[in-house]
Formats: sequence, structure tokens, C-alpha cells
Amino acid sequence: MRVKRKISGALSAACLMICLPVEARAAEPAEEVPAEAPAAEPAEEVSAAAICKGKSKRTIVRKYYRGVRVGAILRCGTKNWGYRHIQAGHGWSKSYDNKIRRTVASGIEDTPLPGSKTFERVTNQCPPRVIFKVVTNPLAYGGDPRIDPQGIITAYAPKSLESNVGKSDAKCK
Amino acid sequence: MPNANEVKELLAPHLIGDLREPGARIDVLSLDIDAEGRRFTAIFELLAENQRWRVRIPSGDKWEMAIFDGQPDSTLVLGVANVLRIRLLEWWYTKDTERRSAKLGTRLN
Repeated sequence: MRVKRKISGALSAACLMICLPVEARAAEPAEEVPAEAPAAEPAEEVSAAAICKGKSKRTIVRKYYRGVRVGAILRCGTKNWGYRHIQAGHGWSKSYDNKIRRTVASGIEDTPLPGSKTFERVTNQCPPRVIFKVVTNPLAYGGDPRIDPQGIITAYAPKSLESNVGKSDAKCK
Repeated sequence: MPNANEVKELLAPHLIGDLREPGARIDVLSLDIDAEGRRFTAIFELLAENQRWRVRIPSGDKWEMAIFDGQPDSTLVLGVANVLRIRLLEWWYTKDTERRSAKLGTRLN
């Protein structure tokens, strides 16, 4: 009987590891990712507005990939950062979503300061010009250390932003 | 509890001078802090591309007000300075195309 119970307990533990989703297994509290949100390389099936409606700032709206790893995440945020900031300040659309996706995927990555990582998509000209910029905080959000990383703070199309990349290139001299 | 002037002294070393932004030479000449109840506004005077501007960047989320509490630690000061810098750069790059940004700045020359 005792052996049976032990086996049963072991099976339960194994099932906990196998049957539960990865988020539920982690020691940290699970991120608020809506069940209907696409897991990887999401298309615009679920609108960002629908995901964030009535949800906390912590809720993840999108994961943007850089190669096989997640380059940046977009959370619902507040009017000062994240999806709600972009939506209120710059306007959100499928096209804007794609611009962020492309910029994170293949833009130039820079860390100008601790707590700030940027991705810049530049034109192929001399000197190169930045056509889209994504600013992220790879560290925890100042208002709640459980929101770690904070992720995308803002994303915009800068006016007349010359990139440093290529300035020293002989072709640009 | 630091007053507006003391908060300015805390933030100034991180924000005055060249913002070291790759795409533009932006020199912050001065910084003032205007505290109003549970919010504050950072007022910058800056020089960029031969243009002199005064820009008012309002505080954002509530946690930023913690810089007025007790003796704020260096992580908090750096965090607030960082968000102000990000908002200032966002203003610079979008002031000509977005009405909300345009309203924050006044050209002085």
C-alpha cells in the first residue's frame, strides 16, 4: 500500500512537470499572458487592444523575436510606456506592430545606458538614417520589480535621425 | 524629504550636458523641477542642431514620485533620470510629426 502510494506520488510529481505548462512550473508567479495570445511569432490574430482591455500593465501583448530568442516583449504598460503609451501617443496598427517586429528582428542593437536598450532600423545609404526605433528597458520596471524585464517603453519613427552606424565607413567619407 | 531643488540636484548629473545620443548632438543646458502635488515636471533647456528649446516633460507613473521620499537610493535616481532621458529623446524625434510631442516644447531662438 505504502509502495503504491509512493509510486502514485512520484507519478503525480512527474505529471506536474510534464502535464503543466512551462509558466505554471516556474517558481516565479506566471506572467499574465492571455490564453488566446499566440505563443511564438504571433500574427495579428488577437488584437493588442483586446488583450489589454481591463488587464494589468504587466500583461504581455507581444513577444518580438531576434533570431531564436525573444529580443523584446511588449506589455500593456501605462500611458507612459508599453502598448498603452504607443497606442495613445503614436497610434497602434498592424503596420506599427510589423515595424516593431522587423526592427527588433534585424535592427541595430545598442545599449546606450544601463536600463535602456534600443533597436534601430536604418536605411542603406550614406550616412544611414534611422527609420524606426524601439526603446526597451531590459531591467525591472521601477514601479514594480516583479515586472522584469519591463520590455518596450516606446517605439517611433524618428524624424531625421542619422545613425552613427556607417559614419566611419570609407564609403561615407 | 527632498524638495524640488534637491531632486534637481540629484537628477542633474545624469541629465545635464551631452545626452550622448548616437543620432543627434543634444546638449542639455539646464534642468528645473516643478513639483505640483503628486506630480512633477522636468523643465529642460537644450541646444540641438543650433536650435534652443525649452521642453516640459511631465512625470509619468506614480513610482517616479518616490524620488521625493526620504533619501532616494541611486537605483531610483538613475531609473527616474533614465525615463526622463527617454521621454526627452522621444520628444526631440517626434516633435515635428506628433501633436502631443509638439506641445511639450517651445523654441527659444
